[in-house]
Amino acid sequence: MSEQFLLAVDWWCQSTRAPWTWTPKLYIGVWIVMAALLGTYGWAMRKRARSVGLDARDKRAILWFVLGALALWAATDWPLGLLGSGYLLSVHTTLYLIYTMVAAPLMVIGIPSWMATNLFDRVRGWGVYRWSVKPWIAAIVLNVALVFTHLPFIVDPFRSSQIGSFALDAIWLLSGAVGWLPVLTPFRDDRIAAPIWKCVYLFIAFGAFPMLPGAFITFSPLPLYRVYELAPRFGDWTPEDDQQLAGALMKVGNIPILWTVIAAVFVKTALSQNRSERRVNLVDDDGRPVPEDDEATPEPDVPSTVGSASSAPAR
Amino acid sequence: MAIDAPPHLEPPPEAPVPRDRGRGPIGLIVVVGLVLVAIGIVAFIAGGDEDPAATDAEQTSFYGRPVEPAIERPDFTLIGTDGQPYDFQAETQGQLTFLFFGYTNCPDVCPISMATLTDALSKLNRVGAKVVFVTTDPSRDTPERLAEWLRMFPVDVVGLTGSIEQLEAAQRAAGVTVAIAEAPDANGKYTVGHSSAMNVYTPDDLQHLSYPAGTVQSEWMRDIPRIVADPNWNTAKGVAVIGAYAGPSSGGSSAVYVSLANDGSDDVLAGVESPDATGASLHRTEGTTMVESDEIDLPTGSSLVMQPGGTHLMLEGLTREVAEGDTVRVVLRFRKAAPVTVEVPVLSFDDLAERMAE
Repeated sequence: MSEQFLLAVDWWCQSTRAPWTWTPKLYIGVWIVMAALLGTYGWAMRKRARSVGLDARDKRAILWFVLGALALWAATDWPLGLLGSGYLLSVHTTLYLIYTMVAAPLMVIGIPSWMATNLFDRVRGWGVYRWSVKPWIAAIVLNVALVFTHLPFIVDPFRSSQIGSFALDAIWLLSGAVGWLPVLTPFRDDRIAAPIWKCVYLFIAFGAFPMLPGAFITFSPLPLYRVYELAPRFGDWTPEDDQQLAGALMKVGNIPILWTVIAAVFVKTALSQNRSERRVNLVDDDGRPVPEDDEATPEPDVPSTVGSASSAPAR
Repeated sequence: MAIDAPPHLEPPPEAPVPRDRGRGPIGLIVVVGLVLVAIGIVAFIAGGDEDPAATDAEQTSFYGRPVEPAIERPDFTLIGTDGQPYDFQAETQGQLTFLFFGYTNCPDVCPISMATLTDALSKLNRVGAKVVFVTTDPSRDTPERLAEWLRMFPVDVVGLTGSIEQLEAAQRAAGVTVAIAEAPDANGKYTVGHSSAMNVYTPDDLQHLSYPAGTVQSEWMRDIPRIVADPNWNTAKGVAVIGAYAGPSSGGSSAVYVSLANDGSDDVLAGVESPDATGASLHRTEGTTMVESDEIDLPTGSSLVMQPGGTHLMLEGLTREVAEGDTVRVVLRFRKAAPVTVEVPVLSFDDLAERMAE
């Protein structure tokens, strides 16, 4: 690898104040992190396949994880990653939403319980896990990270360095994963059991609180972030326009995903209750339940968002 | 979206998970981290307003770099966007003025520096400031192009261009690095290396501050009102009237004697008129002869004392006869300084004779 090539290649997207160009740029750190994530995950799956084999749930988990990794890659690499790091605050906010609302939950769903067990054993992470799976802790971690990573005196220096920019992205991904743990943890015993509380948690943690910093950003009379105010402009867009859009995205950009999830929780709950009632009604003359031939059987390989204590593996 | 699996389809139970392992210091680290972040939030919220407990040094410091010793407002004449000559010193004298050298094809520094300043001025209701943008790329920045580009900013900006030599001289006069055009690429495009400093001239016609590229709106919003309020920088220098008297009228004419001091830059008394007379002219003595003069030089640091038998102003066709105790008004016009209207007391002939004897 020549010295010239190394000089031309960056580790992570950062603010450079250089005029924007549509010429693609290689960010070696992004590829290394993606390779490490997918490589480690693939290695664990392969090891599992060789030892006890992969069941349908594991195969579905692979799909979720790969989708999450793809979302992560799209949000981190050129062009979105660079636009969000050094040009447009609205893209920065969009990336936050992708990290926390798309990549993080997909990757959490994509980790089976046996893999999580191995992981926490290796990194001695059970203590952290037991803390962060508590809804109030998870909500605090998620939103403290949200505020922290949007403080002007944090964003400006962090986005101006590759390591700092990497750190912000890592905080987003980890805090997003923590935020989803109470409803998507691989250990079903630990999930919020009641659908209504699940929805309340999601609304408060992902919907209600971000409205506060979102409003602050939207209605600030001056550009808050030096990085984005001094970035070369995109057409007639002023930093104020960009900031207002960013604030609006933070306030309402999560609504499509959040309310889709909440709606799915309700629909599933309704379907589940319906099935239970039909089981109760289908009894023979002796009062024993009659099995339904035509009842749609849920796929056994999909992790639940309506967790129940009885579904958890014994520990 | 994930769907619950009924209990009878759950995978076989796995080995018990030893979930109490490793709880030791990690929980404490998380708590400490949360506390630190909470402190950050409080600091962010509290940091929105000016800290009333800030020290005097913080209160009086500026984001701009101090220029010490202060530099005089430069003297150069270029071409405005209307195609007419624009004398920078004369047009901006005594006014808060922001001077920037750049070019309209600049991809970053120029539009951003101009935008942050003009956005702040717009929000401050302009505070009577003048913004002047001088191109360093005259071949592309025609007056029309300059005018079009400057229209994108929220306040009026004076755009100036000229020949390469004129522009280089202007940059040297302003004390900034002279711009250099890079070699064009294959498409004929090129950039121009130029100073990124924003020179700020205060009403005392001096530059006390220079703002670097990267000054943001909030910094301008904080500094500009303080620049305007600084009493040391807002005393306009230039030509001052230090005395005036006139003689009684005779045959509809009267002589007026005005004394001037110039502590500003070189200037010229370029004309006189009076609302109390149909004609007014400058007269000076050459040897023993009194001749009418178009203008009288007022070099920097000089004073001009008019007196009977010497230089004076002559009012002709007075609209009324004037005598001791009356006043006449004269308007003095200078090449650079703003016109000055003087209310001149009329003395008696005896007083005039005494003045002449002095």
